[in-house]
Amino acid sequence: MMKTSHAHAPVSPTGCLELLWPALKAFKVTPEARQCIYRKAATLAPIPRLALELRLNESSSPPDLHQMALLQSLDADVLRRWLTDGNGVYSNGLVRFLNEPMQQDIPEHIYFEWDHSHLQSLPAIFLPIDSPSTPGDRSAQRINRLAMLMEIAGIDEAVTLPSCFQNVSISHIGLMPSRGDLLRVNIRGVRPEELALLLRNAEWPGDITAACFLFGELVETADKVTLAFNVVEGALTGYLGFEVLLQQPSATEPRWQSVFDTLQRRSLCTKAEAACLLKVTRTLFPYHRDVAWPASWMVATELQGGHEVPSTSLALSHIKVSLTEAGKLTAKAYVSAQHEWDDKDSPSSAQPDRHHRNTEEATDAAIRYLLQQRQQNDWWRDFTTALGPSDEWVSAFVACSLAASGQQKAIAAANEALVKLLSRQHADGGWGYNAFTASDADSTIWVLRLMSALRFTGDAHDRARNFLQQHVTKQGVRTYGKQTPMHFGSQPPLIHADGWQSEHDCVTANALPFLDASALQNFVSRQQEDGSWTPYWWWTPALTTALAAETLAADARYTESVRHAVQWAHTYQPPSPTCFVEAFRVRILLLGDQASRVEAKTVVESLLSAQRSDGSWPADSDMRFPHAHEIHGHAAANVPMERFGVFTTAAVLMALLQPTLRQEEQT
Amino acid sequence: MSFVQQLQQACGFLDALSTGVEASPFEELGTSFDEAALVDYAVSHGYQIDAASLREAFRLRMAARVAVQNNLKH
Repeated sequence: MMKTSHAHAPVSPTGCLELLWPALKAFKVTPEARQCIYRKAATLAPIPRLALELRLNESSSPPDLHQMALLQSLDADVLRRWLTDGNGVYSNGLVRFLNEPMQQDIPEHIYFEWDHSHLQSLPAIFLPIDSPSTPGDRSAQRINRLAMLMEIAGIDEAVTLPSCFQNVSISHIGLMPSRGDLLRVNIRGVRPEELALLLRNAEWPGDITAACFLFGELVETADKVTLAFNVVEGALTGYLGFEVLLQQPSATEPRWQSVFDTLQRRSLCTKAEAACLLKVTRTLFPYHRDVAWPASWMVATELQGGHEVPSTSLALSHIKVSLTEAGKLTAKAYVSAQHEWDDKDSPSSAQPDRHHRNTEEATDAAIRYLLQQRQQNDWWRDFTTALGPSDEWVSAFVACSLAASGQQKAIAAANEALVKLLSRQHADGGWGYNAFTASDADSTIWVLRLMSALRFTGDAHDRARNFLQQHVTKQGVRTYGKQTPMHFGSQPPLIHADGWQSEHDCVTANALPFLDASALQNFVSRQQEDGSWTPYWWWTPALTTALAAETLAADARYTESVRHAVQWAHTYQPPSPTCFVEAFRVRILLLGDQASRVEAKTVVESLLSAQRSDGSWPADSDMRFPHAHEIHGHAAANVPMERFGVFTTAAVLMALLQPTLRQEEQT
Repeated sequence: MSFVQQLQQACGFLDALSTGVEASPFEELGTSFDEAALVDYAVSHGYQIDAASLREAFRLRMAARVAVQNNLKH
């Protein structure tokens, strides 16, 4: 359980403001406005999680104030205690809400919001409504939450929502008493092609074509775009908001710059504001020389009497672009500051499932998870690197796993991913790690594998094959061609990239189905004494050896090489066993004799028991990110880069879908 | 009084809070107050400090905690 302030000493939210103002110098907030906000913050529950809602290109407007409480943390206890001590507003209803069991499958975040002009009025309060997995107005949870929201506000009426919200997923609903009877309804997961119908059904009075165009542009750039509607007496007003979220901070996410480029093109944001917001995300520690730690937080820390060192996360939470009925566009940025103690280990909401699934059930759950993880723009994204997350490479890999499932929905998603990939094919015929990187052979091979699985042929396929061929040498397949400009996004060009531009056995193993007999022969000659092949982009040989052995197993000339690989899989002891490595070990063992296949089934059992309740496996793929000049890749930093388990889940799914495994299970 | 002496006084004040020798300023100041209020509080309790020495003393104490933690990890 994540500890927060009140488990220790009370930590005032005002400290958040003291750390936010120096980071927001581009916004000319007057001392008087700051003082008003500070005085308000001093009256709030001691939950140090504040955000400022900043109007862009209107720097002189004072920001609105938000406070967030994470109810799956100790914030719930802090808030409950504070309310029962007779503080705050909405006390009775909120305490009853806090005493309800929390849902494990949704982030239980509640928000309080004060418009600057109504700092002394009742705040808006936002409650989470639907679980992403059970949207719809027939869900008992939605009915229950709506009733609670009304109870908190002391309103003796049922909420009336437009009927078009029946089958969408509502993330939050906000009551906004300072704006009359207005309800704010935030809807997640709407895909670009669905918006026009949703707006028409809702009789939204604005320009639907303009809204859809803007939405499409934002969805293409972001990880998530949530829709915000205003509802009065059961009908939509002309307001429509687009909340634009990216999961990684600007330092490792070049798409933040793209978001601000979009805003600046539409004169919704100044250059100075964009520059300021791009730098705002940072973790502050009290021992930093350039940080003036708030005095009240010094006292809270010292009163602990222990050894804790707190920190504060400043973050650009999201951007909101709003469109009025008259077609006027405005934008706001939400910048948050959250105090944390250093013992904040927080469990994932998804835990290993107590119900032990069989292979078929595990496969179905994994497919559901992957479909749920697909973003509104049809990409899967994962991994944290200095180049941002991957979408092209990761989406091709995940789509390959879904294409192998034989399930209609999964194959449809794989086809949609291929359409998306085709729209991004680079001029040289290849694909890359993401839109900011040059084409590479490995990403292109995964797209070629996807094309094969979906029986796609045509010009795009031929151009991709041609691209791959240009990376083939006698020594294998280069990840990047020698002539590839090694220039990634806005980063300085890489002068020395001999490592990345070399032949790599992990890439060559992936490419084997597309290579000729002599290339296979050369590749086999590089098999190590222990039966494995040596990877460049991975810490362990599991993926490389599995991909190699599977292709070689189709050719009787390489029986001995495959047997040797299976032997490796029998004896391999990874530094720490991971689901990712085990998934590829299963694939190799399934190529062996009866004893090997029995061992494969044992490994599968352990994978099934590690699957989490949401259908995923823990993000533990062992990708490494060597310096570009590193020929052998050994100097890579050993830091986990996969974040959401999308890649690992797809890897395990591929293992569970192996036909040999299904045959084994039937015998 | 030199800055080093003020720094010593500020460290003494923070240590007194940490060990419970000095009462919690929250009793008197509430939980939301600024640096000037805390300096005044410390001065009224006999510590000759200013804002700069308080800030630096706290920074050094946190840096020392991190150094100890890192040392323990290795």
